[in-house]
Amino acid sequence: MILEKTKSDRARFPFTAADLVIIAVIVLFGFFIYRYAFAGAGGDTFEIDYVVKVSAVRSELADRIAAGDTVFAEDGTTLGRVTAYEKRNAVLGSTGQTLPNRFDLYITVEAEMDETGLVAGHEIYAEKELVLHTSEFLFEGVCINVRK
Amino acid sequence: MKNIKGSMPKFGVMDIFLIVLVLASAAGIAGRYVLTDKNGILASSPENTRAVVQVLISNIEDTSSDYFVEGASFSVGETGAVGVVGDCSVTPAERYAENEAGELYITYDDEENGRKDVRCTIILTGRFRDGIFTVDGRNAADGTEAVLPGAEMTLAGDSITVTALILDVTAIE
Repeated sequence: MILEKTKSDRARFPFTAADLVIIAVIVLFGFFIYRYAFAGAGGDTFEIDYVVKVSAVRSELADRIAAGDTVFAEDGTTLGRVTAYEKRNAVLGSTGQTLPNRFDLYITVEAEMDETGLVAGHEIYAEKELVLHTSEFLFEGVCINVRK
Repeated sequence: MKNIKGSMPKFGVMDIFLIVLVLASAAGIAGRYVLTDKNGILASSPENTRAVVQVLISNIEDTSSDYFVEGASFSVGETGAVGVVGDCSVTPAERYAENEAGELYITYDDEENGRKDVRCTIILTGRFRDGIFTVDGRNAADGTEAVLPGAEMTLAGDSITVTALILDVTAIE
């Protein structure tokens, strides 16, 4: 009686549990191959430029940035590449006085933003305070401009 | 041959394919986590090396500057790695003053009893990873810490703890 019921079930649903596991594994395998091999090369990202202002940097540290430097976040993810760098005499915002021996740095970084508005999982927007580093210099600044 | 209850199951081509697929997947996952860094780039284990780290300790008490002499040991940053002081110079602390025209200029504290700036080198052992010098903690749980110009670093001695600004990092050949 039990055998008859089993045969009847198999007729209606010809897959066994093992077959379902195989199918699930193959589907998952295909998904990961697609994701790692093809998804990253798609056209879902666009280029942005953002400018970070770093205030009142000591003169000994003011020349450690150069165009072409790769910029990293604190967690080590890559947040773009320096395309331009400007050094101006540091000015106190409250009084307008120039600070001797200090410089304000304006660092322009080119990066790829994804369709969700993130750069390597990080939000980049004007007025955001950023702690970034290259292989030569760690700097804390504020993002003052994002151009898409 | 029928699969009789209690005997070993017979493996088919699909079973072998499945086993190979699962093993390959497991090896891929393990390889990804063991061999690559956070960016998915194949990581390597660089050799231990020593580096000279130039630091500036600003505006400390005159008596505190006495702790910074050649050969003194300090625990560095969160990792507790040990650094040894090399060259050291103590100068009156730099500060800003305003002239009659309202312009700021640099002046210095009193030479005798005023506060001091200390510039010294700290010799550290660590590794250069992608050009960035990192020090390992004394215990694995202490992790690693990047030593980069522009960053601040805590130096803790027997009876003093200060914050130092890192000015330069150079490998010792």
